[in-house]
Amino acid sequence: MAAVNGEWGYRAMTFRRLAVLDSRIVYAAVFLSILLPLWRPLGLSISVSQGTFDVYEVVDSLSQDDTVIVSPSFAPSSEAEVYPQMEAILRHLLARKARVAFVNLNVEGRMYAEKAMTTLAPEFGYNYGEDYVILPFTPGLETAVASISDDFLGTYERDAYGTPLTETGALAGIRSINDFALVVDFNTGDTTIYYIQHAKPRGIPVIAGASGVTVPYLTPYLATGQLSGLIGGLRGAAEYETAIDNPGMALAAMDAQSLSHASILALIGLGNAAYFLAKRDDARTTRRSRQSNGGELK
Amino acid sequence: MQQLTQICVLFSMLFAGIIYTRSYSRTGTMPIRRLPGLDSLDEAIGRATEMGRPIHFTTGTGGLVADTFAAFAVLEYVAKKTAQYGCTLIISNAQPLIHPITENIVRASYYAQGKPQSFKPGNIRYHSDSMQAYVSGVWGIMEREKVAANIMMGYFFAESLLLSEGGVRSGAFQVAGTASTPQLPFFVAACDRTLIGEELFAAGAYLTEDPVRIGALMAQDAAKIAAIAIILTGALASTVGLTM
Amino acid sequence: MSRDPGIWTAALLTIVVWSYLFKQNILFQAVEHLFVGIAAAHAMTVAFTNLRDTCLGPALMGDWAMTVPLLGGLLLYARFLPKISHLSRIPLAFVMGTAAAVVIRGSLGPSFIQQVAGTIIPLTSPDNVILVVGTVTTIAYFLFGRKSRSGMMDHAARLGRYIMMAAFGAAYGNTVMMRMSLLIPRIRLVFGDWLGLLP
Repeated sequence: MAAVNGEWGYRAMTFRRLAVLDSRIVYAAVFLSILLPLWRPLGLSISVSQGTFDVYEVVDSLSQDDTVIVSPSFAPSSEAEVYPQMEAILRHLLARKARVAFVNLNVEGRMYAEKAMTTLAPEFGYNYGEDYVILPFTPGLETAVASISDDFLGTYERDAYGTPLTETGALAGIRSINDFALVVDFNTGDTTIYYIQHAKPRGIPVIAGASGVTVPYLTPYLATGQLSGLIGGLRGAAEYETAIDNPGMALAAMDAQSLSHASILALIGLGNAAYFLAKRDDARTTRRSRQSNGGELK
Repeated sequence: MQQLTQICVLFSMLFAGIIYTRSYSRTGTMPIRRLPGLDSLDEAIGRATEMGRPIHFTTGTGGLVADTFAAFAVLEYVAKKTAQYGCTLIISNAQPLIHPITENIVRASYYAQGKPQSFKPGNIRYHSDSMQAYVSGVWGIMEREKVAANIMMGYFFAESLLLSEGGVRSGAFQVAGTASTPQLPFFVAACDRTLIGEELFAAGAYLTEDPVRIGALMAQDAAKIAAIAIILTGALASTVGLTM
Repeated sequence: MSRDPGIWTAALLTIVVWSYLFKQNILFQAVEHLFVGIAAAHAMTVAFTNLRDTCLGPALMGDWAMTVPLLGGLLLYARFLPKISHLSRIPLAFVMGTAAAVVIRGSLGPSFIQQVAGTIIPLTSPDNVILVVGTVTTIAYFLFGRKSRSGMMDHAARLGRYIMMAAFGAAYGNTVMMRMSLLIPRIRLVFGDWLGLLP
C-alpha cells in the first residue's frame, strides 16, 4: 500500500513537475542555446535548398539593361530576419548590374533602402539617380500596388528626395510597370500577394523574401507558378549568402538558430513525455488504489 | 479568356448571392448551421459575469477589412449580452477609424438593452496603431483589470500570439476568430476556442441575421461546391490522361 | 565594453524588457509606457508627413485636384459635430467602396481561379494526392449551409479539420524559427556590441 501511494505517486509527481516546468527554466535553456554558439561558433554547414536556388536563378538571368523593383515592405520588428535576405539579394542584383527602383509601401522602407545602399553602392560602383532610385513612401498598400501597376509614372512623378523621375537616368526607359524585368518584395505581411494580384498579371515575374511566419501563406502561389521564387526566414538568407558565396550576418547566426531549434525540440519532447508518463502513472495509481480497497476508490 | 472567366465567376456569385438573399428574406429560414464557436461566446460572458470581472474585446491592428466588419457583428452580440447581465466590457482599439465605430456599436447595444446608464465611454480605449505599443497597452489591461475573458475577433498581424500569450498569463478564457491565415496557428494553440477563417464571417452573418450577409455566405458555399467539383473532376480526368 | 550611448541605451532597455520574463516589475512598466509614448509620437509624425507630402504640399503648390481628398479627410471629422455627422459617411463609403473593388479585381483571379486551376493535377504521386485531398476537404470544412454540409461533405470536413491542424503545426514551427531569428541579434547586441564578450 505504501508502495502504491509512495513510489508511483512520487514518480507521477516528478513527471507532473516536468510537464509544468517553470517557464523561466525554458527561457534560460533557449537563451543559453543561442548565446553559447555565438560565443564559440560550431561552424555547422548548411545546404542550399531548391527554393533558394530558384530565386538565385531568376536573379542571375537578369542583364545590365534590366530594371528591377525592390520593395522593402517590412518593419523593424522583423528586420532581423528579412533585412539579411534583402542585403544578400541586392548584392546579387548589383553584381548583375541591374538598375534598381526601391518602391516603399511601408514608412520604414526608405530607411532600409538607404541603409543597404549606403554600404553596397560604393562597393559595386553604383550612383544614385543613374543606377538606382529610391521612390517616396506610397500609402494604401494594395491600392498603392494597384496604382503602381496601372500607371507607374502617374503614381510617381518624383523620387523620395523631390527630383523629377524624368531627370533620373535609372528610370529613363520606364513608361509603365511592363518595362520592369522583375519585382522583388521583402515582406512580413500581404504585400507579395498584392504584387502577385496586380503586377504579375501584366507579365512581371515576382520573387519574394519573407519572414518565416508568412512562408506557408505564400507557398500556394509558388506551387501555381504565380510566384517565381521564395526564400524564407533567416535560414533562407543564410542559404542565399552561401549561393552567392558571400558569408554575412545570416550565415553567422545559423549555429545559434540550429542549436536553439534543437533545444526547443528537446523541451517539446521532454514536456510531452512527462505529460503522458504522468497521465499513465496517475491511471496506474488509481487502479492499484482501487484494487487495494476492494474495488472502491478512496 | 482569363478575364472573361473572372467576370463569369464574379457575376455567377453575385447572382447566386441575390437569389439566396431574396430566398432568406421571403422564407426567413436560417440556412446557416450554428457554429460551436458561438457557444463559447456565451460561455465567456457567463464566466465573466459569475466571477464579477470584465470582458476584454479587440479587433486587432487590421483596418476596415471584411474580418473587422464580421467582428463588429460579434461585438454587437457581446455588448448586448454584457449590457443584459451587467458585466463590464473593455474594448482595445489600434486603428483610429475603428475606434469611433466600436464606440457607436457598444453605445447602441446598451441603449437597445435599456441600459444607457451602464455605458461607459472610458471602457472603449484607443492605444496606438503601432503593434508593440498596442500590445503593451492590452497586456496592461489584462494584468491590472484581471479580465475573465478575452475575445479577439478581426484581422490580426503578429500581435495575435502576443495578445493570446498575455491572455494565457492572466488566466483569461480566450475566444478568437480571424481569416488571417498566418495568424490562425497561434490562436488555435493559445486560445480556448477559435473561429477559423470564414467561420468568423459565418458568425457575423448568423448573429446579425442580415439577409445580404447570409446571401453572400450561401453564394460562397455554392462557389466552394463548384470548386470541389471542378478540382475532383479535373484531377481524375488528368489522372486518366484527359487534358483540355 | 562599448562607449556608444546609443548601444548603452538599446542594451539597457533590452535587459529591462527581458526582466518581464522573470517577473512583472516597475522598470518594465516604465519602459512599456516609454514605448507607447514614442510610438504615439512616431505615428503623429508619420501622419503629418504623409499629409504634407502627399496632399497638403501638392495642393499648396497649385495641384488643386488634391483638395478633393483633403476635403474628404476633413469630412471624416464631421462625426464630432452632431448636426452634420452624417457627412462623415461620404469619405468612409468612398474608401470602403474603392478598397472592395481593388480587392475583388486582384483576388478573384490569382487567389481563387488560378488556385483551383493549380490543384487540377494527376493523382499519380503521394504529394499530389495529399494536395488534392487536403484542398478539397479543407474547402468542405468551410461550407456553412445546413444542406451543403451534410453526408459525405461532413466526413470530408472532419478530415479537413485534421489536415488544417497539421498545416497550423507546420506554420507554428516557422514562427518559432522567426522568434529565434529575432532573439539572436538582441543577444548579440547585449553580449557582443555592448559587453564585447562575443567574437
